[in-house]
Amino acid sequence: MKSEISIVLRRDLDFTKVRYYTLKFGDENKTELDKFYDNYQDEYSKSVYFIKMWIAEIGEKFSAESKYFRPEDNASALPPPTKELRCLDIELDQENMNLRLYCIVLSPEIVILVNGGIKESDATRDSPTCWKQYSFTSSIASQINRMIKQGDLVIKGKMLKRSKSFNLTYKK
Amino acid sequence: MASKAYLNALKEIPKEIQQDVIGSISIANEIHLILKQKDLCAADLARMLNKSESEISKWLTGLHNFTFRTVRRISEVLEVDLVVTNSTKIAEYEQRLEKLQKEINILKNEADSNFGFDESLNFTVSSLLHESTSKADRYLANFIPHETNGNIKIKAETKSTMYYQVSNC
Repeated sequence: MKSEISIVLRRDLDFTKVRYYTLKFGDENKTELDKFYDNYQDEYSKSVYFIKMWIAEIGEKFSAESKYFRPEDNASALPPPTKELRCLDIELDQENMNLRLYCIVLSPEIVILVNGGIKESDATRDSPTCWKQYSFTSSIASQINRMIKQGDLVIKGKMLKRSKSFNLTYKK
Repeated sequence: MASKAYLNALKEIPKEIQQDVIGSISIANEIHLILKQKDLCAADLARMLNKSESEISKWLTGLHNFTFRTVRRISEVLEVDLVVTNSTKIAEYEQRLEKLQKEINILKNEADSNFGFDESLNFTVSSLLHESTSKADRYLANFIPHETNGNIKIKAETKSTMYYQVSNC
């Protein structure tokens, strides 16, 4: 059975240049971003802090330009890409760069932070936690794109206006 | 002025991580500025370092976590210090503050001999403020190369920090 999903504003992540949102299943108490932090904060604390710092820096100083996000088909991911440079900083890279937070960049001012996982191989498909969250994010991104095309979701500056007739859904 | 969300975020994130992220961006910006001053482009730096142009372009996006070895190599080929240590900065501040203190003492002595107690106190405080402000301006100007002087605006926050440091050390 498909669950309804709402887009939730993160008031604590309302920065000067970017306002971040997240997603929440109707039948759950926690948002997807909180679930991500709960899952990885203890074991991958350094990686989580890196991602939090990038969220803050992008949000406060730069705005959500594509160069700050890893492209993942119709979705995106943090931390920012450094693939070409791994040979130079392999230690730091291995220590910090395997955790992915999937997101949907709607405009330079609006980003929906979803959930993430550990990238265990080059292909997302071969990393079970990543694949699950990527599939979810990608499905929601497609639905949101459709909503925007149909006029059911309107972006105005940092605000999102959604028509009541269109709901986001996902089969868990 | 930073947003409340940003200030709150920084409270939670360890200083080390903040410095890693902000540092990589500031080094990239510094390299941009030096290349511009020397009328060089990313391709020139790539040639000098024997690296590919795409690799250097990535460095200049501010997303690269520089190793010290990389910074040292860049400093060598560009003939500039990309990293100024805190102890060097402190030594410079101390020298300047010592000089400033001497000038303040001279002004204070002059004021004491020319005015009564209340007037000399007011005069000394305003002189001190004026001196600190102009010294901070001149100190900041030392960091700006002559050819770019006038084209770079020093942010109000940077000035305030300098005034604070000069008047509180």
